[in-house]
Amino acid sequence: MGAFVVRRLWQGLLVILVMSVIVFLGVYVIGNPADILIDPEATQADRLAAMHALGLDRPVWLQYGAFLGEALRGHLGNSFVFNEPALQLIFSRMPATMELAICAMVFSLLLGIPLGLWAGAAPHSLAGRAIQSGSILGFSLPNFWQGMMLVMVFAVMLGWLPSGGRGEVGSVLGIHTSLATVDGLRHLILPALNLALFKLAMITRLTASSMRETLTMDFIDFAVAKGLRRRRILFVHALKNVLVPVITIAGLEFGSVIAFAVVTETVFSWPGMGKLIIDSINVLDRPVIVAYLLVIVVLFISINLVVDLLYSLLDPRVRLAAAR
Amino acid sequence: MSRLRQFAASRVAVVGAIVLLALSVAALLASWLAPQNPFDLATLNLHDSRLPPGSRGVDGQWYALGTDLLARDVLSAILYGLRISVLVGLSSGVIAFALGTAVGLFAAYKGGRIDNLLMRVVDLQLSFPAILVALILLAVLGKGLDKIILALVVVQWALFARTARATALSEVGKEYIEAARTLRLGTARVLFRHLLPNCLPPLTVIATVQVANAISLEATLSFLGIGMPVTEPSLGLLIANGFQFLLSGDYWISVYPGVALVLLIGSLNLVGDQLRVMFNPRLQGASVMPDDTPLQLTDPVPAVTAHAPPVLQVNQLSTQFFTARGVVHSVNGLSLHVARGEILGLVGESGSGKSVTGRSIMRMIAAPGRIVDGRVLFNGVDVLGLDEEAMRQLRGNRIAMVFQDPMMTLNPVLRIDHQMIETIQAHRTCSAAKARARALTMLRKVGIPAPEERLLCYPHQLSGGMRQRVAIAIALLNEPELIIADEPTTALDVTIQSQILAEFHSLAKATGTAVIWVTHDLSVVAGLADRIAVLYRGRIVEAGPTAAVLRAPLHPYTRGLLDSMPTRNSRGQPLRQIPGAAPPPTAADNGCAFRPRCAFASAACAAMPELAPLSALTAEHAVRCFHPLVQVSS
Amino acid sequence: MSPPLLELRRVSRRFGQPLGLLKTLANRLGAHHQPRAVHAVDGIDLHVGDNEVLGLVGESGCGKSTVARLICGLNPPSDGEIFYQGEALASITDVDRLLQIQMIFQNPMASLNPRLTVADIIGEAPVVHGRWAARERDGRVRELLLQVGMDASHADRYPHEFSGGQRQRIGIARALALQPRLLLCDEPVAALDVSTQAQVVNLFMQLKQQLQLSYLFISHDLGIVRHLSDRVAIMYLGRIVESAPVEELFEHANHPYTQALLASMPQIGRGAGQFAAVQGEIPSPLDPPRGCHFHPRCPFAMPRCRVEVPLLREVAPGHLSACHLNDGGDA
Repeated sequence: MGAFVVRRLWQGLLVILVMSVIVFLGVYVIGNPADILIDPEATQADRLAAMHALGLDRPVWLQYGAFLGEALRGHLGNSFVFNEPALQLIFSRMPATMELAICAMVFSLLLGIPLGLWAGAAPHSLAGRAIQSGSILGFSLPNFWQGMMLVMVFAVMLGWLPSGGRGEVGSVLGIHTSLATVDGLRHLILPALNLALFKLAMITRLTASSMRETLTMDFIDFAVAKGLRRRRILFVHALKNVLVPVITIAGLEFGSVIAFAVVTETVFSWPGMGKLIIDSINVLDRPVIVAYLLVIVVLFISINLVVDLLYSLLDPRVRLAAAR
Repeated sequence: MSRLRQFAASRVAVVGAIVLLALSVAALLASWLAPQNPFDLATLNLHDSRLPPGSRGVDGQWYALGTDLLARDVLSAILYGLRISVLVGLSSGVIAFALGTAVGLFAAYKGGRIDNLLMRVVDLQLSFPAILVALILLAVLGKGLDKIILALVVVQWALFARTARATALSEVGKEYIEAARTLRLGTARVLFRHLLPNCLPPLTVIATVQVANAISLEATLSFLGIGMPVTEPSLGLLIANGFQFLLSGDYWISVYPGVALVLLIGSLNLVGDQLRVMFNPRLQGASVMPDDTPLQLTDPVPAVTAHAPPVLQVNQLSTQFFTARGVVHSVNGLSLHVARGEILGLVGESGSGKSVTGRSIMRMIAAPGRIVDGRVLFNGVDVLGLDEEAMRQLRGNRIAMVFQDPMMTLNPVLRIDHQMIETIQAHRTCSAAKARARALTMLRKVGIPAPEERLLCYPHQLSGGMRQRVAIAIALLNEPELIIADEPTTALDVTIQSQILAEFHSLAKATGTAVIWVTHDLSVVAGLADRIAVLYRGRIVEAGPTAAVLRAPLHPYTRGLLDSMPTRNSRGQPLRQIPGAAPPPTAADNGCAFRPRCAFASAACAAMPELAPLSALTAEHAVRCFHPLVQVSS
Repeated sequence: MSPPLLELRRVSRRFGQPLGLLKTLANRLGAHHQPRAVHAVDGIDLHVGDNEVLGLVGESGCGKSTVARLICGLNPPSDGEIFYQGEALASITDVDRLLQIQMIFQNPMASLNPRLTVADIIGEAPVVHGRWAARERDGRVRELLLQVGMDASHADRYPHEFSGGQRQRIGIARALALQPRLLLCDEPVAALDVSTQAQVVNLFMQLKQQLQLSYLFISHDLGIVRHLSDRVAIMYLGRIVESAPVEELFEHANHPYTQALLASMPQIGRGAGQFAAVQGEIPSPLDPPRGCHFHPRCPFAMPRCRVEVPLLREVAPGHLSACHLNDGGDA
């Protein structure tokens, strides 16, 4: 097990290194921030001076070397726009995004798994078919439009909930969160729902098809032939097998939720890192883009690692192979 | 044609296909259908800005869906936007499909390091969400139709590559590809004529869903302001334009384009979903999980008090499968009986209904199958009339079952001890410790070495033979009165088969359990069964004591089976063979089903013979034939 | 004496995973990681003569299918050489000669491309290799269909329209279209129904007579092997343990494993409950026992069997067996 973790960590480090090169090259070589940051009316001498000040006149590999060296010390450059360390900027926005993503994920799992189990266990019943069709509708709704409709119905037409912003942030055990205040919660509901609905559809479908396939397996026949109660067959024999893929995929989907927060945060003006990256892209604030990407890469690799460990705990076939 | 019918089985999918077709046509004909060209600024009248649906403009035009800030007719803008969305989705989908499939097939066929490297890249790409990759690419590349198509190709190709490789790998291992290789047809020919066409179905499914995703993604990116430029508004941009007016109540500017977008994506997904069901047979399978509605076939028969009834008496059992190709008469008015301590060998070829018979007795027939007639009297009580809870109490307790494939019958994620203990506790209140002790005894009885350790194992840690022993031990746990064994040694090697036959025989005799041993192999039951029943096309054609049936078979079919065995022929001479093949089980026929292959068939055989003994002297040995072999040979 | 049609000399095939990057690096630095390998075929010698049927018998995992795959080139051997008509197979460049070795597969459901018609399946290779002109294809296919006992009108149908026995006949016709001299038959009747098995076995025997074919006939069914083989070789965990002319082997089985196999064979004439059983399980090919692979299950195992691999030696004319018992008391 120890060797397994070490191997995964080593692979993760490699991926981070590769990604840092790709990201750096992509962002630094193709786009030119000087065009945006420097007054178009400026003289050529002013331009050069400004580019020198930003370090843009050095060869690319030197820029990368400097960038990597700085990155290892946690410095990813200052934002061109905010003139603040990019990493610090991202970390200041991260809690808002994580809060949103975690709420959305929990919501979609809590609702999606039971719905999927129901649809998978009774695929031909009215409820089963309704859940299946509903889930197709669910992932056919583009996230941003669905968010706008939520605003229209619940904020504009009904006026029950605020249409955007994060609201009042309280503090629980030293963590600042919207979950601590009523106003914060009211602001959280719509964005979290928006982000959750898409994943809800996916998790429901995954659980349903996994359940359906599992129920046709020989070992379910054997469980029926053993005279086990229906409850035990569904919730022990089938569920244990269904959960293996569902938890694995759900873990990986957490990364996708964080990515899709970009859309939700834009619709609901939620001050998270997603909104930050969109704003940064629009003005080509390169240090922020690079820092965001590297943070995301590290985040995803950690998620992948956790999912792998979880998977090996859930499935005895993998667990025992890894132990050897 | 049958594919089309299969597709049409889902009404929702048909609706999806029609909507998809209508939208595609509308997008294609946008410049003719649209009342206005929204790109032509000259036709726009700024006085008509943000008019609600159904209003008339200053020049008298009628705006069915209202106008936006620039006074564009929303309906026209939708039609033109639809065109861009479809174009982006289709072209990126097609390019990614071609690229990914080529890479995937190549990787699968080459294998080794190339495969490894390519799949690393694919995995890396797929571990990052599409939206993020597209976002960054567009941030770097800038806006524009070509750029967004490029970005969408980049985010999509990897999924096609992975699917193509996985499908190709499973196909490459199949024998027809190996055959093509031994025929030395050449790599290109094997790849494109043999491999590719067989990999297409799953890729088509992915393609449908991917086009839907691409359209959704393009809309999202345009909404975020980094997709299509303002001069070529796609649906996403139209929606974004209306966003600011949503709060002031001018809903139509973003709601109607959104509806069009959802219809497009939704219809694609509906079609894709039905394709997925069609191409994945595992999703069509039905479960034997009983629902709570009891079979209302016959009224329960009270226990008869006749002298020593057989443990099991099956009368006129019929089980049919209602498939799209017609009704399959798997079991056709079948009758049999098993007495306490007796082993009945139920022998038949594939499609003879032998397994369905065993499952019918357990009432474990999955849809579209149904027991349509007959009685299954277990200790005199008709199990077909029992409610589901009473049936459950019989299963695994009074009637147990062992299946053919030991690799599949044990639950892979549960330990052996859990799977054994639950079987006891499902039928009686018993402490876990006591149940465990019982499980241990049973494992020892079926010849499993070091049973304490095996109890803590997961199934995959045991060999096939061991797993089948565990399954037999589970069947014996509650001391059932009847065991139905469905070809339990067919998947095993001969030396292991022989061990298990020996152990099973002595256990069954020691416990007095009645057994129905289903098999296709007469020689397996020769040393095991007390009586043999031979099945042909859902009916028993001959039944009698083992020795009598094997030594003096009465039915031409039984005789044919025995005669074709190599051990009963002289070496080097042609085997005596039964000509032809069994008729398809959908063919309805009232006469003897064997007559097309029978040397003795006559006009009389067009009627159905009764299963009856030849004389009172041989009452135990019955045959269903107008020309039983004794009369012919004597 | 002319060389046999086919000869295998000390042929081995190992399957294994190459070491990962980390372990390769570690090995460079002085570590000793061994790749895990399965000896699917472990130094076997075999030969098949003209118009001869060699039966190759063994249980699952013994490597018998791998032998066929090595001969027809689906996998290259890891060690040893295969000779066809006295010439090393690897050095033969003449495609026509290589095509003289054809294979019949086990699974009639999987061995025919589901998207091609019978005429395409049978006629593709001869046309591609220039044996037939494209326009004579359909007529030739019809002749072949008749030869394997099928109706000529079946040429335009697809594989799923046929029963298992008929599909196997189509597979045979596909091989015959290239006028082979040697057919490698990998469990060709195992997936068929009992009543059609005999038909296909008879077809094999009839074709052998008509076309002077040789077969490597791989099977686990001793009854069928006995019926149509001239000689038989028994495999256990990658090695040949015994080979002999068919009557000699069945009458005077020498190796304890062969004896166990013969005793385990289900038979009609067997009395109630009489099952002679050999002890134990087939060991994992990943980790076979040392010495004689069979020793953990052998009732006659001696200390020597645990260390020393017994070699094949002649115990009667043409009868080879690899067992230390044959060394008698002088061991």
